[in-house]
Amino acid sequence: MDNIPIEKFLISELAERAGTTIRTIRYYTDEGLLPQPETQGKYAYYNENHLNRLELIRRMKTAYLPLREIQQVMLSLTDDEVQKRLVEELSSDQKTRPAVASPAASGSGSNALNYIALLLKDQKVLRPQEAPEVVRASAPLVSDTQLRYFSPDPQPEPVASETWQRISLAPGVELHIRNPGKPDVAGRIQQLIAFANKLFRQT
Amino acid sequence: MNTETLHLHLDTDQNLVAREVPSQRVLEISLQAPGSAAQTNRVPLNLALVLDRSGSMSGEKLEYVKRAAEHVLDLLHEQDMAAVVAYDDEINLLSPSVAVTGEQRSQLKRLISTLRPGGSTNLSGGWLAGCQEAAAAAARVSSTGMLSRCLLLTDGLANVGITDLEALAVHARELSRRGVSTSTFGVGEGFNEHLLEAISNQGGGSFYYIETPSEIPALFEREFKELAAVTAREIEIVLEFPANVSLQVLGGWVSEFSQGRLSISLGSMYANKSQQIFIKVLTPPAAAATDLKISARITGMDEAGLPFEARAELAFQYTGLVSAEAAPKKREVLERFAQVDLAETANEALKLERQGKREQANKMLQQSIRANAPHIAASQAAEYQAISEKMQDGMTEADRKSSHYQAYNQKRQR
Repeated sequence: MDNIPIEKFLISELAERAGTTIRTIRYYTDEGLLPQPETQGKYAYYNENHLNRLELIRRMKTAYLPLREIQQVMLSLTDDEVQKRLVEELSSDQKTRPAVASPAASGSGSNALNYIALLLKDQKVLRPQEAPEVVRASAPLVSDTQLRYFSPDPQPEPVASETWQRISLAPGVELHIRNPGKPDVAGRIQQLIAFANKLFRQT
Repeated sequence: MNTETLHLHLDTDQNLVAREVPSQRVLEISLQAPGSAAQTNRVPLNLALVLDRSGSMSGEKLEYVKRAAEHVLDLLHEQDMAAVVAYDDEINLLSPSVAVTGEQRSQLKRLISTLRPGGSTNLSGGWLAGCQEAAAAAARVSSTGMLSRCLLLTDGLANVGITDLEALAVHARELSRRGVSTSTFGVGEGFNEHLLEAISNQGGGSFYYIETPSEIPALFEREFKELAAVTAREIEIVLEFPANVSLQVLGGWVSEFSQGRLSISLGSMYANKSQQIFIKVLTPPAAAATDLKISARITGMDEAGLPFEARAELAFQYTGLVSAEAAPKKREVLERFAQVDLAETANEALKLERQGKREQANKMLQQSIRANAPHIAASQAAEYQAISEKMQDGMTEADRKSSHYQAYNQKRQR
């Protein structure tokens, strides 16, 4: 096997082939999502396996998996397993992928319903504690039973960065609030905004 | 003008291009949707009303939303379908898609009247549930002429479910391709105008900014009327360019360019609606060629559900640099282009402003005002100048929204 020439790329070539950036590749390597490149002198060489891994990461990202989960998956797979996964996915979705990848199988064969179903499934992957079933109405109209597609996650996924909402109180004055905030604070924030509005409109 | 079929025309600000260096030209695609032949039988609609009932909607806003939803139901007939979804952090399917018969209508209205404000905003969940209902109804009812659209209303930031702008826009585009389009309605000061615009642009629908809740019913009605008058749908333009032409499509339309082939998806158009789409084209220098031909083909489905097709062509002629640059430009094309170009830049600048990059945003807008000033009315330049000044002083949420909406309407010619 050793005498079969392995195609090698420089980081810029890998970035180009995978449709990503050099910075992203370096970041993934640092985070352990990609194995270290082979070094020869001052050059670092990447191969097919890196390319496959980048493709799999891209697909998982378009399914909105958090980077931490992607990292766990990538660390657990061998190069052969990575390739197997890619092939399996391809055979279940014969159509070519759109330029901006969408999480669900795309192409004329899959209609809007399939698309949404796959999307909701992806959401479930993202938050496994959720109610697994989508409850559908059998009667044409439901009055009292309010159907729930999925309930919110009681334990939100830890996110890499905080989300802040900016509320402009007046030109040049802003209030920053971290999302999601505590419910009992929301009311007080509303009061604060109302008061600020009054205050700034006077001037 | 009442035309029989969809009208397609290509124009440019200047047909002559330079041999020696790349030339930038404006390519204008003009479209006009056919008038309606059937005055009585409008296209059956398949609507999903997706209503925000998050805590911030409480009071006046929610009351107007209820009124608007009930009003839309009054305008629908029994050949139409409607579903109602209410969402906060939970998604409540108030009613799956049903034919709007007299009985169902009162039932739907009764359900809407029970709406109470709740928690936070799972915009994506509500929206997808609405699209799902519309898609399910479309699959059940095999009426080919049915037009499926989700009307998504919100007053807040998407903070539960899928919240990423790019992701939501991709889903909107994919769902629109699969027959369910989306229009978005932003109420008040708490929503993200760029997110809602992206969903509607990619989703083949329209975006509405509702400054005061009392406008909600009128804007729902406008959306309904535009839908009811649709005479062309699934409109797609494919343009073929010779090699080495670079281009940029203005207006936020769904477009793809690869190997000299540009396709633009326009969704549907209502009777007699005219629309211009502008493309900035950079022609390659050429020593030997005499001209550079661009061909356009538009396809879609007419009112009766039958496919239509129209073609148009345009050729640029190569000439020496001096005569290419000296030749007078077509003023009327540039005037129409300048409106869209400036509006588009203004929206991009507003996006930057929202990210806190005020200086950069203002510089960008100033440049565009200067560049387009020769071709726009002084009053219009003054309006954008006013936006620029507000940017410098600091904008309120209402300023951001009204400036963005003004530019949005300008760039889409609404």
